[in-house]
Amino acid sequence: MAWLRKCQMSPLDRVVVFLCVIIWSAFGPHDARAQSFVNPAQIHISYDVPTDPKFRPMYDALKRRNVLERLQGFLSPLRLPKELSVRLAQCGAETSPYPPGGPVTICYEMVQRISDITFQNTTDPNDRVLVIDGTFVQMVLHEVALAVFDVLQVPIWGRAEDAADRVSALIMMQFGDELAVTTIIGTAKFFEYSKHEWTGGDFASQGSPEAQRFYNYLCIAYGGDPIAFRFLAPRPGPSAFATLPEHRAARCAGEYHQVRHAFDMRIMPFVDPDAVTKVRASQWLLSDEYPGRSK
Amino acid sequence: MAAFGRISWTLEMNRILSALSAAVLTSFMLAGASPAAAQAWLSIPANPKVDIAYVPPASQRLEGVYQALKGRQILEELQHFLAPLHLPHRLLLQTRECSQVNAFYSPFDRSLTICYELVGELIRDAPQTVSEDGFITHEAAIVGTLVGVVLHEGGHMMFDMLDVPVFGREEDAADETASFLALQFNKDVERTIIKGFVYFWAKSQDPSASSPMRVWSDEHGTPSQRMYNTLCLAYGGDPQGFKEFVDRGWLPPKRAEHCGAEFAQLKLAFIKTILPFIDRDLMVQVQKTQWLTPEELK
Repeated sequence: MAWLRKCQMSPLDRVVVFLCVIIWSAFGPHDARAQSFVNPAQIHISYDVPTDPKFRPMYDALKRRNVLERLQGFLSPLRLPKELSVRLAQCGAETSPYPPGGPVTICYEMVQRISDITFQNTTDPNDRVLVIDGTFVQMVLHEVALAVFDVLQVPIWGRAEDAADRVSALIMMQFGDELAVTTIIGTAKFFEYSKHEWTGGDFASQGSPEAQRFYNYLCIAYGGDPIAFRFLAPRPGPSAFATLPEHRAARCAGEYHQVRHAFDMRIMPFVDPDAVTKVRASQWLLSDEYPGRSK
Repeated sequence: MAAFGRISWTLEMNRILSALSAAVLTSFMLAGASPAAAQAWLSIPANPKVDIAYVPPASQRLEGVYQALKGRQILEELQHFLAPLHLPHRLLLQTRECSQVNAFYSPFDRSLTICYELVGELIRDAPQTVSEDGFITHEAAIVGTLVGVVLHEGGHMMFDMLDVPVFGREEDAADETASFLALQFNKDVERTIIKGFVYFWAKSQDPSASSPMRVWSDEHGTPSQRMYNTLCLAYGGDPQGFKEFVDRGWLPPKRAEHCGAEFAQLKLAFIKTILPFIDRDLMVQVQKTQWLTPEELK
């Protein structure tokens, strides 16, 4: 991502710019189709002003770049029976659990954490872009998935947090292999970098350990597209990136199709197929906005 | 193939199974063969779509377990227990030697298998009479866990046969099925099954903090995760009946506060995806029936 390095951007700016760019290409002012995607009656958005001044630049940047307006457009194919609110806010914690009825809250603290962990673990600029981009998209999709489960009263078998991860991974896989690899591998690397060691009462959490989430994302990816993700296939010896063990890899196609089937049964009836086609047909990343791709 | 997931087969099994006393197996066999227990479930018709088979083991060391299960009429009882479920396909329930400590449902031949090796391990691991903390008796540890395992595999079977949409991890979902179904019976039965399940997971080992990344790749949760999930759903579904779990500190308050919502999520999933396949009248009969013997409910 040569253009990012040239601009000497902060980690936060990279996050903001990434989101902007991926949505810009589909919904930006240059795109005549943009207005047809936006359905403000379905998705209500808001930017809360942070009380901690350290988040003020983040708030200004996200707002200036209309990140939520663009997310609103991305979600426009959803036909929800009631309004869904999405807000950016200072939460006093890294996450703010989705309460029944909403809103979806994306915390400035979590954006900061993504950036901090990434910068602590890699000095490679391409890796940094990959991890920050992928994890931010994952976080947003995960939270929106939880909200959609609630609004549509989707029957959830299995733990809801894992279900939201599986739906996030499924959606990441619908926009071409380059975007899928960027977001899935970026997300997986973030979980790898998190290095949280689970012991004792940690296992009582409603969420899963980062290492389990790491494999869950990789499995959906490999199961959904074993060609683009062939580098995850089991093989002996060292490799640049963790591969899937044989026993899990053998199940991944089944896992992918299981969540896809569930999505088709319970969520697709609430999605406008024509709008989805437009969204899927859009160019989400510009040619020089992928990690490692030269200009 | 969806397996229960505690594959811990070792060379030690030969020794273990040889060591199972005739008295233990006999008491297990006789517990279910009492006339009162037999009469109770025979009043419910067997599910006509369910076939059963006790496959004789090739290994002599498993003969005792085979005879015990057959004497206990466990498969016949399950055939009747499943009466309310409208199955679109035939299901084979079988017990057999598997060369692993496990139970599993196979969608390829629509069979649910209970391995003699698993039952052998449950008998071996059960407390002699009652656990040191008084939590569970010998009989309840064996039968509660075994029923929990069968309900777990029954979850996999229903997901497959009823084309149930599964958004989360299927192994967790199957555990949820076991917990949910356990809570649909009287207090004694629900306690026996839930406590058996909890006992089983509580004595299993989690990966250590220094374990390599790959140990986390399994599609099953860790034993502790599965234990906490069971504790939480039981408490969420019956806060009074399982208040002890919180009082004793087994279920941390931070998780406990969400358990009502977790159970509500599970109930919604059951109502929307499985209940339409259940005959309500037969279900009421099944709920009223005493499936376990007084010894197993102690």
